[in-house]
Amino acid sequence: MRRYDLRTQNPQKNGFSDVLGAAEITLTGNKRAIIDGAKGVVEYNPGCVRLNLGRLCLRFCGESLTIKTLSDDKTVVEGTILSMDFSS
Amino acid sequence: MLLSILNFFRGYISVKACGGFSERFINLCSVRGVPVWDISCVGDDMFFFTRADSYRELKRIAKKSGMDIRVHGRFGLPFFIYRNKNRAALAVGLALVLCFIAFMSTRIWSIQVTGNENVFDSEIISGFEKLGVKIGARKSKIDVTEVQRRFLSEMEDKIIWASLNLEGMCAEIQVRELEKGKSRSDGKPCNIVADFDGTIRTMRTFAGTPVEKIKNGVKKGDLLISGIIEYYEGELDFVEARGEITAEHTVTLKEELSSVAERKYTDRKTSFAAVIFARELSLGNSWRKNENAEITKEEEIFEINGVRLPFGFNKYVSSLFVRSEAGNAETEKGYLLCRYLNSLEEKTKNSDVISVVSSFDSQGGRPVFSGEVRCVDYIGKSAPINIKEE
Repeated sequence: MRRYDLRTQNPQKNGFSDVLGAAEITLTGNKRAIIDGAKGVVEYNPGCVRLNLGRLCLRFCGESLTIKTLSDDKTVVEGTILSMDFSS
Repeated sequence: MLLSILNFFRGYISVKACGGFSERFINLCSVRGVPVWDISCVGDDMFFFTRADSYRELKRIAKKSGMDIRVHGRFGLPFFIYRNKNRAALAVGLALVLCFIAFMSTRIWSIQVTGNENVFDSEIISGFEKLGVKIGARKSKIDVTEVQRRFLSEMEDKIIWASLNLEGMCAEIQVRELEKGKSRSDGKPCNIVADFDGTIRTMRTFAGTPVEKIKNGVKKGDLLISGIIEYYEGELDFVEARGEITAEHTVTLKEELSSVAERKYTDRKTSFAAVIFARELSLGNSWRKNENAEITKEEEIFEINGVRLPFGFNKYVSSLFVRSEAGNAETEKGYLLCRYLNSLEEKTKNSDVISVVSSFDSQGGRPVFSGEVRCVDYIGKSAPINIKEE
């Protein structure tokens, strides 16, 4: 079991998400979403992109969705995002 | 932006993948550190970009995830070099262009003069050319301060201030001329004396003791304003005499011809010469060295958006002629009249002309144009005072 020591970690330096282990999602209108902390892609097609965030699953539904960048620290989804939901 | 440039230099490919498990493929790429970007789906096919050197690892990942991948396009410098490896001249040409641009940026392309009214551009430009500022000269070799100082010392009777600017491709020369009737002030004690014979018309004394009066006749060298001021107690003070004095005088002109031969033109030829940095490269034969050839020259300098380039060409039209001793009187008169008028303009360009009386005569069968011009000019010039200290 992973333990977090709050005395050694600086939440302001590393970000709120690093302390709680949650992903950070930045939306630019409904055209672009930047997800920090995504673990992988569960489903991908132009109408639906589902990402594994660890404890949660994030799904984007829309049109002409593309994965612009996919790396360890950042995933960028672009296109027309119509809805976004979380599931466990 | 930086990533795009890096990818261009490393080379990248666009890949089409179909079949298999696309999500597993994407996750394996992420885990194994294979960079993929711009992933999009068209029907059942997936398109994406990746680095060219990642293709081997990509093939293993594709095999593991059951996908079939094909290279769709190749981009970047390595592929460009590979496609054009038999065109070495392209690389040589590119290198030559870069060298040419580097070379051209260190040279002066053109010279521009501003601020002059009475002194001709050609006179100022030739003055600077003697000091090394000319088209094609290397900018870094020119000491601007020293050139300005030497130019001013050579043209001190006409120019009071000059500035040379070598920013960009054009050498900009700005000048301020000495005002008419004034000499350069250096603060040393001096008198003002007459520069020619004449009758004083106007006299304004700013410093010193006036010696002559209006309507007095003076000869060349006569003292007009003295730089010595004598006080009531007998003390003397030496100052730089300053004033504006104009005088009326007569200028005589005479133009005559010893002999003029009629020219009969026998042949005509056109030739060209390329001009590169004010140097000519002849591109054809002309009769420029022939004494019996009349040459007219047309200059054509190239420009781009108003910027003069140091390249161009000269067109020479050479006409061969034969001299005939039996001169044509009308031709001689016309030629002489032109010379007389040019001389008149040259000698009176800075004067206020009161009257001109010209006459034409024939002396010994040869035409002579003569004339008298009454005009008003600034007569004063500085003459230093030698002071011996005891």
